Formats: sequence, structure tokens, C-alpha cells
Amino acid sequence: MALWVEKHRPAALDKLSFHSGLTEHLKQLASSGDLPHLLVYGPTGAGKRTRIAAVLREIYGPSAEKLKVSQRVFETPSRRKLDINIISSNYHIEVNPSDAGIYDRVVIQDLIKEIAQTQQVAASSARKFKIVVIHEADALSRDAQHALRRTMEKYMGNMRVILCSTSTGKIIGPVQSRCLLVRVAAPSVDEVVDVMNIVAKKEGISIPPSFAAQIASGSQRNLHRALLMLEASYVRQYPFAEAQDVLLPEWEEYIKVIAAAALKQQTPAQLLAIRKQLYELLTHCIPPPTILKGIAMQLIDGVEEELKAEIVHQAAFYEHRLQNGQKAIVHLEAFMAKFMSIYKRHLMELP
Amino acid sequence: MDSDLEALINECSQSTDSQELRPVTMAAPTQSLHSSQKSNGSHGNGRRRAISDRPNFKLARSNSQAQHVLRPPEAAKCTSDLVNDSADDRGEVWWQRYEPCSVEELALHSAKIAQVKGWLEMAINAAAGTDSSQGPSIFRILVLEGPPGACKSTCVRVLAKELELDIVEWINPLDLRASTAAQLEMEDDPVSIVRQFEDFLLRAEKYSGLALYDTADRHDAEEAKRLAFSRHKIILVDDLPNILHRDTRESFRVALQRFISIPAHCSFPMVIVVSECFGMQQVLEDEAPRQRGRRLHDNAESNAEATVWSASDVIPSVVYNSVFCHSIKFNPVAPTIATKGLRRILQLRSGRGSQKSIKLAQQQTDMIKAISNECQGDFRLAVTMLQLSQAAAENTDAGKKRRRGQAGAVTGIIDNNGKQRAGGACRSALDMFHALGKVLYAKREATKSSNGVSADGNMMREKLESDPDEILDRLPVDLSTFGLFVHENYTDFCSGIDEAAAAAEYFSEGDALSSSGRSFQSAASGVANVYGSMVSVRGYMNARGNPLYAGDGTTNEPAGGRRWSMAAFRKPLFFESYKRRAMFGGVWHDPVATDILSKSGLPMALSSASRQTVVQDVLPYWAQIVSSSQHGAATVGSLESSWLRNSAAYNQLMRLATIGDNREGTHNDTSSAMAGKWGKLVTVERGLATHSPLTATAAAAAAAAATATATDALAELKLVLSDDDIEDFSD
Repeated sequence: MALWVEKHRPAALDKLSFHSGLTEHLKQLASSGDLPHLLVYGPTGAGKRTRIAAVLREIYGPSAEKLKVSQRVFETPSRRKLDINIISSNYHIEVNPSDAGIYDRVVIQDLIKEIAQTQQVAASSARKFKIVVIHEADALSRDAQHALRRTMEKYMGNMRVILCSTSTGKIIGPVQSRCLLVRVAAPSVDEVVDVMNIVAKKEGISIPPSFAAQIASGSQRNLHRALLMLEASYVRQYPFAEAQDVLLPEWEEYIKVIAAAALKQQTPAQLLAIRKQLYELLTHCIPPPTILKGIAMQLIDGVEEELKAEIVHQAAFYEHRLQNGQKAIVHLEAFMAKFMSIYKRHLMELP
Repeated sequence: MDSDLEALINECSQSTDSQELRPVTMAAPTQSLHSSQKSNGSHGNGRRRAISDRPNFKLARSNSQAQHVLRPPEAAKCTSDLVNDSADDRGEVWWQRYEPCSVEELALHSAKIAQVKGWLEMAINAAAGTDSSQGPSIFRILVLEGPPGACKSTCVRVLAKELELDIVEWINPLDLRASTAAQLEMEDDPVSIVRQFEDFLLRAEKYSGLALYDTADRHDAEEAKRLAFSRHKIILVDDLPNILHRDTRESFRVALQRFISIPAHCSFPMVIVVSECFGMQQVLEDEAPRQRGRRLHDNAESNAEATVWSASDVIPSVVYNSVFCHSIKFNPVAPTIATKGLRRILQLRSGRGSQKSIKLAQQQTDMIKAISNECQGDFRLAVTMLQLSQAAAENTDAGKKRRRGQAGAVTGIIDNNGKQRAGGACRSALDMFHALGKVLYAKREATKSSNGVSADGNMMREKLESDPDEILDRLPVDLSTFGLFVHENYTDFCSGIDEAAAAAEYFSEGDALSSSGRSFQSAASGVANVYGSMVSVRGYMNARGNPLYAGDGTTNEPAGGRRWSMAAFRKPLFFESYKRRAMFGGVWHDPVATDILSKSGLPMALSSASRQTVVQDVLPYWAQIVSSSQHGAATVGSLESSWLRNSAAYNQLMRLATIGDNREGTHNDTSSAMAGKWGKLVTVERGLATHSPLTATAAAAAAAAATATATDALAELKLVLSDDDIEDFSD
């Protein structure tokens, strides 16, 4: 009783369907009896979490899959209380410090100290160390990363850290050098199709090859998304038609609507309407850079060749502003206004 | 006035038996004033000491005789003390010294006075129990709200005197540590002010007609009769406890609630005077009387209104909205009325207060007029300005006939013609509307010559009618809030997209500027903020109507087909959006939401996966899968009939996942696609989970909630301002 993504997630390293070379390495690491700190990185939907879970299982056996969620309260130096969700098994603990915002240092330090100071209790346990999995490590603040660097060394005796992030760019050098870097690349389109076929077989449905390819490319090689798309399409219409539309998330559709509106009419009133839609997107927690990028990509598709460079330039410019500024709406709107102005001039210059 | 107060308090503290006082005060009024003044040193000190000596009570005897004694009528004083008048009132403030003692002298509209008076009379009748036949009285608390200097307190005092009421006034103990041994028992208690307030209320009620009015002691039968008639009192709360402190506010509420629960005939009516601070409530003023509920709601939620300081915020809403509480709003004093009041003071000063028909010098009349226009409805300020300008004049030529133009020339407030000097002594905040209007309309001075073309090819443009710097200086709100307001509304004023784009770029630049300071050092943020808003405001005002951006083919008609004469200012959606985002963000910490997601097959999704992934990839599909009829039931069957379906967290997740109306709009033709979607969901629910009694109500609620989308609800909140207002102001 679960979504297909979770239901058919391979649990063991042997069941993983792609990146077989990487799988081999991980298996050797896990069976060697010791494990360095790991930094697992790669795009979303490439299978990072699946691999981490599989490694944990390989090390500790199936009981590492018995997870429980608990909420822990941390107190900042300024006496603010933070509630953080923590997932743990007997052998490891998973945390997503982005919940803590700027106080992530406190969370990381407290948590790691706590884990490190208690020895592995279960006598039967294969390993004497525990593992701390930190998701979204690239969202860690500098402070937290520096704190991590010290604790990683200090408590090496009975604790290992697995960091999970989308890229290494935001991880500071000292932390990177203490870890074994594990890159999990996005699966190729064919690999995505393969996985979908495996899932379809288990579910007892059949996918027309062209539709599978369509989903795979529509998911941008994000396996997680591809499987969700497959299930959503299945819910909507089964048996699949060859030319069935691929379902995009609503916010992406919405971005398309905004782009279309900007291409259709260029007036201040239209700008006002677009602003409302932008607010709607922001309200739904879509990150502003994603919105900007999405709209820019849509706009590029809709204009002539000579305007494309200019639009990308403007998008980059306002993206920079977004990073500096505080009120995302102002910059998003400025980009839209700029585009509309440019596009209108272009239209008027046409004979 | 300070000395008056002091004497008054001394009177009370010496004994509760007013009998003793009468001869003393009768005999040598001025004597007692002066002596107490000397003994206590400076005025401010004296007052403070006196208050702490005798905590919380100021018993103003307001029967006419005591009043007569304590506050010598100006007429008598002026005639006798005219020569050393200026020496006398050194350090004495005119608005206290010349406090009106009759209704005619109040600088208020007579209708307003009648309104207050009517309430007081009703309340007293109720308190006296004369018309107890009509059931319990609802006249318990009167709230007088209005801007500072609108003569609210004075009005109460004067009316109390006229109706022969005693006033028991609450005054905040200023400094507990400085208090004397009399208050030792309170010193250890950190929130004792609140307790004192409760005590005060209690005492004020308990000792209703105590010895103070014990007519048995009076031998004067006539006097006794008169006093017996006027033995009512009112409780005046002019000085509110610190309601910004949460605990204090809470106990304040409890105290007031308890107070209104006491039947009127057992107690006394209370008058609370609340000075509204200049702030955001000005923007919403028009709506306030009609839609107070909504305004309160807004106040509670958005950042912008956190600065509002109106009666509805100060007084707990439980009390404020109850039937026992009435509110009378005071407007700023109109210039004509202010002129009258100032004239009275000058007449009193010139020693012939009794003769109403006295003529003032032309120059003085001009000055009064200028001051009345300048004071922006604050009568206290007006009197102070008058005193300042007069004091200088009287010093230079004391005793002589005043020469024209002397006063203004010396003080520098008013120039020779009595005309207000630009940037004079008083520059209070602009109205939010006016500030917005000035920026958004960005009017230029009328063309004197034909538009020239300068060397670099730019069109020469006329100067802006109002200086952007000055607008920014005089804002009623902080810079960033104002920026949001301008940003929200500018599109209506742009004639073409080029102009809008130019303006938008300035806003973007301004925001980037004002934010960058913040990340480095907090000290720099203030400057950065100013730069940021200057860039946006100036940039916009420059872009607006700039011929550079004209000629892009669009007409000069403002967008949206609105006439320029009547523009509706909108409130920024920013705050609403921010709030909702925070609300959605709260889902992550909601155990129920976590539960729902893990039940429907996304175990731990909320805590381990990146949030961005969840929002962008997982939730949209999740919502579709779960809400679909056949498969959804199979996939998450356990969820269907469970209470989770009806929980707020579930709705929250659904709403987070479903955005806008794009696809739904194509599928069903309902005007509100969101509602359509919800309707569908609801029918599914009904079909599958009919045994749940909660479903129907939850579904109805969900449908109702969905019909109003986030942005539309707020867009309704429009504010209308006519162009005339702006014209009028910029004169």
C-alpha cells in the first residue's frame, strides 16, 4: 500500500538495476568491515537515498530497515526551541538539517555528540560504529560545516557520517577531503525506461515503448519523478494510449501559463495579472530561482532566434538580483517586465 | 498646572476628609500653589513624587467650588497678574494652564461633545439605578479614540465638571524603585503594575461613596444636598498599562472583563482614552467602521499592521466588541475650531478674557490661522506653537505694544505674512495615502515653456512637484513597507510596458541594494535601506511619464481602464503570500501531515528527502494519485475512511500540491476551477466514506475555503482615494 516509488524501491545492493560498477564498489566497502565517511552526490532522482539505504542494510542486516520517526527538540544558544524530525534505526540516524535554518550548527553538533558518546548497545551488532546520515548537506551553513569537520575527526572511533547532497559545490574543502566521494549520476533515458518496465511488470501493467520513452524524457532523467509520472498517468488513463500526454506537475503547467501570457500581450495590466500568478507560485513554496529558470526556458521556446540570447542574459541578470535581494517577487516581476518590453519592441520592429 | 495637580494630590493624600481642605483652599489659593511648588522643587519631580506618595489615585474634586479654588479662573488671574505674567508662566505649559473649564471653551465640535455627554448621562443614570426597570445597563465602558491632541481627555474632564462627577483617574506608577516606603510591599513584584491596576479598579468600585462625600459631616444643608446629587464618579483610564507585555495585556484583559461583568448600579462607568498613533491604520481608516471585524483580522495577521496602535488593538477585543463597551471616535481638530480655541487663549492672555468681543491684532489673527492649518489637528501642538511664538514676542517687547511681524520673525516658526515656512518646526508624518499618491502620480510642475531638447537628446522635463526625499522623510511606515505599497500599485500608473519595465528594474535594483547591507553588518543596513528605497522611488518617479518610454504604441489611458481621477490603491499581496508560505511551511512540522504521507506510501518523505523535491516532484503527483477515485482507493485504502482524510493537514497538503487553475480550467468550465477540483474530491469522499460523520462538514468547509483563492480575497481589499485629496494636500 504505497506509491510505486516507495513500493518498488530496491532494498539490497544486489537489486539495484543501474550503475553496476558503483554498486560493486559499495558492496566491497560495506563488507570490508570498516567504512570511511561518505559524501554521496548526484542529481535528484538518481538513486542516492536508495543506495545509502542499501549500504546500511548491507552493513547491519535487514534490521537497519526498521525505521522510526521521532521529533526532537534542540535549543539554540538564544533559547529558541527547534523541532526537528529525525529518522532512526538501532544503528543509524538520519537528519535533514535544513529544517533548522540558520541554527543547523546546533543541531548537527548536539546530534553527533549524542550519537558518538553512546556506544553501540546491541551486542550482536556487526559493527562497532553508528552512522549519521545527513540529507541535503549542501544546504548546511558554513558554520555547521566547520563544526562538522571537527566532530568528524573527534568521534571517528564510533561514528561515521554519510553526507547526501546534489553537488559538491557548496561543501567546504576540509569536509570533502575527509570523505570518500561517491558520485551517483542520473540514469540514462534507457535506464529509466528499464526501471519503469520492471515496475510495470511487477504491477502487472504494460507500457507502450513510445510512451515509456516519452515519460523518461519528460522526467528529465529523474527516476523518482518518472515513476510518479507513470503512476499518475496510470491513475488517469489505463490502458495507456501511444500518444497520451505526459503529466507535468501543476506548478510547471502554471509556469507555462505565465510564459504564454507574457508572449500574448505586453501591457502593464498583463504585468499585474502575471504578478498575481507569480505570487501564487511563491505561495506554494516553489523556490524563486526555479520559477525564473522555468519561465525563461519557456520564453526562449516561444521567441525568435535573435532574442534568445538577450532573454537568457536578462534571466541570468535577475537571477543574480534574486540572490542579493530579499523580495523575490520584485525581481521576478522585473524580469517579466523586461522581457515584455524587449519582446514588444521586437514585434514593433518587424515589418 | 503641575502645581495644580500637586496641590490636588496633596489634598487627597492629607486626608480623605475633604472637609478640612475647603477652608484652606478657599482662603489662599495662590498661596498654597506657590508654597507647594517651592517645597517640591521642580515641577516634574514634584509630580512624580506626589504620585508615588499616593499610588494610583488622583481624586479630582470637580464640584465647582473646589475647582474654582484649585484652578484659578483665567480672568481673575490675568487681570491681576498681567504685569508679571511672563515671569509666572515660565516653565508652565499653556495647554495645561489654559485648560478649558467649560464646554463652550472646548476646541471640539458641539455634536461630538453632545455625544460624549449623552453617554455619560445615560451611564450615570444607570449607575444611580434610576431606570433599573430596563434591565442591566450596557453603559459600562466608553472608549474615546482619536489622534493625539484631539481634546479627548479634556472633553471628559470638562464634561465631568459640568455633570458634577468626580473623576478617579488611573495613572501608571512611573518608577517603582523610586517609590517610597508606602509602596514597599509592591516593590518585589515584577508585574505589580497590573496588580495595582486591578487593585485600583477594585478600590474605585468598593469605596463608591465613601467619606469623601459623607454629607452627614456637612453642616451646610444646601451644599449637602447638592453634593448628594452629584455623588457619582467616573473612572478615567487615560494612561494605559503596558499592553505590549504579554502577561500585562492578559491581566489587563481579565481586569476589564471582570469590570464589565459587574452590574452598572453597583459600580461606576469607566472612560478609556486611547490615542491612536499615526500608522497604517490610516490606510484602512475608511473601511474601519464598516468592517471592523476584518480589519481586526488583518491586524492580527500581517506585518504591516503590527504597527497600528488604535483602540481595537489596545483594548482586548473581547471587551471592545462586547455590548458593554462603546466607542466614540474623535477626529483631528479642524482648523476653524482650532482657530477659535487659540483665539480664546490669546484673549485670556491679553487680560480681557471676560470680554469675548475683543479684537486681536491682524498679525496675531494671521498667526493663529497659520498655526491652525499647520498643527494637523493636534490642538495641544497648536497651543504649544502659539506659546513659542508668543513667548519670544513678549520677551522682546514686554509691556509695550507689539509691533507687527515681531513674533514670527524671532521664533522662526511663522514668517511675516503668517504663512507657513517650508520645512517649518512641525513636519509630522504624511498620510499613507498622500505619500503613495505623491509618488505614484509623480506630478510635474505645470509647463512654463515649451519642451526643449537638451544637448544629449533627452527631453527636458519639468521639476517634480514634490521632492522624493521629503516624501521618504515623512513616511508614516517604514521604508520597505512603503516600497511594497508602491510596487503593488505602480502598474496602474504606467502608460506602457516600457515604462513599467524601467520602473520594475529600479524596484529590483532598490531591493538588491537594501538587502545587501543586511547580510554583512546590521549597522550598514539602515543606510542601505535608505539607498534602496531612494533608488526605487526616484527611479519610478523618473520613469513615470518619461518621454523616453512613450511612443511604444499604447495609449495614454492608464491600464485597467481606470480613470485617473479615481484610483484604487491596493494593499500588497506580499504579506498574504508570505503568511501562506509560512503556513504551508508549517506542514513539515505537522506530525499529522507526516503521518498522512507515510501512510500513503511516502514514508519519511517529509523529514529525509529534500523539501524542494517533495514540493516540486512528489506532492503534485501524490495529490493526483490519492485524489483519484479507483486507484487512489486501492493505493491508499487505509487513508480513505480514516479521520486523516478530514484533517487540516490533509487539506493543507492538498492545497500545497494543487496550484492555480490551469488544467482544471480546461476540463471543467466552472469559473472557480479550484472549487471544481474540491467538489470532485468531495464527491469522491462522500462515495467512499459515507460512514464518517465528519465528512460532510469537512467537505463543505473545504469547498467554501477553496472558492476563495488566496490572492483574490485580498485583491478585494481596495482603498479608494480621489485625486482631489491629493490636489488639496499639495497646495
